[in-house]
Amino acid sequence: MAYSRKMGADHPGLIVFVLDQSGSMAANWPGGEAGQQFAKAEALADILNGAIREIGARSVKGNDISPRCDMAVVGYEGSTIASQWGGPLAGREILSIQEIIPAPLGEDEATIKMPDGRGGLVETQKKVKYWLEPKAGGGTPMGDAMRKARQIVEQWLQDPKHQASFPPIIIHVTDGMPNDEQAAKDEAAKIRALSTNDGAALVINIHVPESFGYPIAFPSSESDLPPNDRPARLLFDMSSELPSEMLESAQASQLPVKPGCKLMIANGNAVMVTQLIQWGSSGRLQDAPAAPAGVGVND
Amino acid sequence: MSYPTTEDYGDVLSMPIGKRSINNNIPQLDEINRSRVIPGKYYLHRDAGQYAVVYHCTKSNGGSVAFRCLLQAPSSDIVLRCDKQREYLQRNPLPYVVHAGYFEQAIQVLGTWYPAFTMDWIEGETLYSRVNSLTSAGDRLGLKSIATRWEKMVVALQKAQVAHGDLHPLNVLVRPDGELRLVDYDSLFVPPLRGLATPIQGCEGYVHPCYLSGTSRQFDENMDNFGAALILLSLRALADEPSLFGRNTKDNLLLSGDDLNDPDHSPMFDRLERHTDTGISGLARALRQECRLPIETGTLSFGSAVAVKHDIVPDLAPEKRQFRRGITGL
Repeated sequence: MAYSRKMGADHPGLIVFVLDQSGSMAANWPGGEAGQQFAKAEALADILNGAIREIGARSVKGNDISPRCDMAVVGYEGSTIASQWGGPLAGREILSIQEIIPAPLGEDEATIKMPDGRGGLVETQKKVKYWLEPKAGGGTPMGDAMRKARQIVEQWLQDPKHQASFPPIIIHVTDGMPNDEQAAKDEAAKIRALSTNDGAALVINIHVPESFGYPIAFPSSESDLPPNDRPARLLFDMSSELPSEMLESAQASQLPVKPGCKLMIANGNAVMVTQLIQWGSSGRLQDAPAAPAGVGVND
Repeated sequence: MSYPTTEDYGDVLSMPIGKRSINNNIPQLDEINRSRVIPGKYYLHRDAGQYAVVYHCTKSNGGSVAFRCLLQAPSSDIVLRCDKQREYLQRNPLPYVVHAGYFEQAIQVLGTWYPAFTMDWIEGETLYSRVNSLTSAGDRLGLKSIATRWEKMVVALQKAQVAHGDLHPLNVLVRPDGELRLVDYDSLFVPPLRGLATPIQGCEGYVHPCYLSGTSRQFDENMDNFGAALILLSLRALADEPSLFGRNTKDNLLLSGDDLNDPDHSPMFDRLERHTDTGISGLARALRQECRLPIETGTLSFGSAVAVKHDIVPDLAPEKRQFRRGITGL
């Protein structure tokens, strides 16, 4: 049965984030209320830093971090395709979560405000580590970026230990059309053809809109996409289908998936994007629970 | 709405005492609301931490309680399971299973209410962690003592017809006094629950490989037999040679999923089968043979594993007796 391995120290998994850092990412995420605007690049950096913290939190084993997951973050803009690790991790490409967590770029002070359980609000400060900073620059060399992602996956697959691992997961976030659409499609197809013994690599695409658009999550066919939406169509071509073995796990995580749907969101809002990135990265992918009671009761 | 992250729960719990979005209509939860909690200190449960995060809460009267928050939706019949477990264990108490309560609307995160458990807090460390310390220190007596307590616990569970369902060194705590305690009862079997589906397929390296490639697991008192025997073998072997720890696997005690998936090409199984202590070699042989079979036959019962060590011949049905001869014919 495919897609059944757990990410563990004996056979770690791989997550590759591919981030659009083109100029338009400096613009605000459309659809927000006045006074709650935030730049796409900032929101993305926040979401990814949160995902990294969560993977670290779930990799705790006793007093250590178990090296259950490797990670790479590739950013692209203009003519630059670059690994985004910085500070103590600068110059590195594929890192184990065990190396990542103790070496953040820095620590921010954040204020959290929540309901106090009695109808009021209460706030407190907390320190949050971060590894990635928001960036927005030139054009959109998506094909080159996907080529880099493919090379990273190929390099990782050369380690025989990884042949028994859960397949690599590539999470790509973009807000627009690339300069090199065909190359993007071709490279994505090549990545989807790479595999471990447990199945083919999964390419998940997330589109953040330039202007307000109706969000489409996990489309099953092209007819589910808005007409004339070229970015959505492109990402549809690039995305993997949800493997049948992972349907239950996705449903257990409350994602609105259908059998055989594509792993993508078009015109995503920040909440949906966060949910998909958390699900795709924090290891829930390989946790397939048995059928709920009443279904498949043992004979 | 998808389930919260550990960070989300940590944020709620880092709010001042009495000011957390925890359901204070329920006394046990109100107690959590008024407890001191360290959001950064927690246990993770099941499947390498994908299911629940457990916080240590110090109550206003000084006592401790565990607050177990879920990272994904529980079985749809969780309330039924918890009720039947509680009733059965009240009539048949076992020191290894502590009191736990399930509450459907326990903690509010980002506008939505999520369920949670409260449990007696168990002071101690995971079996994995304790074995790690003992093997690092070369403490054979300490390891032997754990092996003995392990046997005692499993025999008691079998006698009560109770099975944990996800027996794993991260689901067993070792108290400072050496006593063992089980945690994470979502897959706990008690006889009144017979007929329900198995909530979890089990963890790689602790169940027969067939369950990780599609075979459905029977929900009954025999669920732990394979894992219990495997852990017993690991503890005995490590007590004899503590330096084996970490050599064959970084995730498990001694044997890895690879050893179970491909037993014929497992150097560790080779080594264990050649051991001079029949309590180790016999058990290794029986486990290895079970792994070769396409499905778990259930003939590897813990009873026979214990019997190998103590030279007791249990009263077995004819087909099982034949297999039993295989163990003693060394």
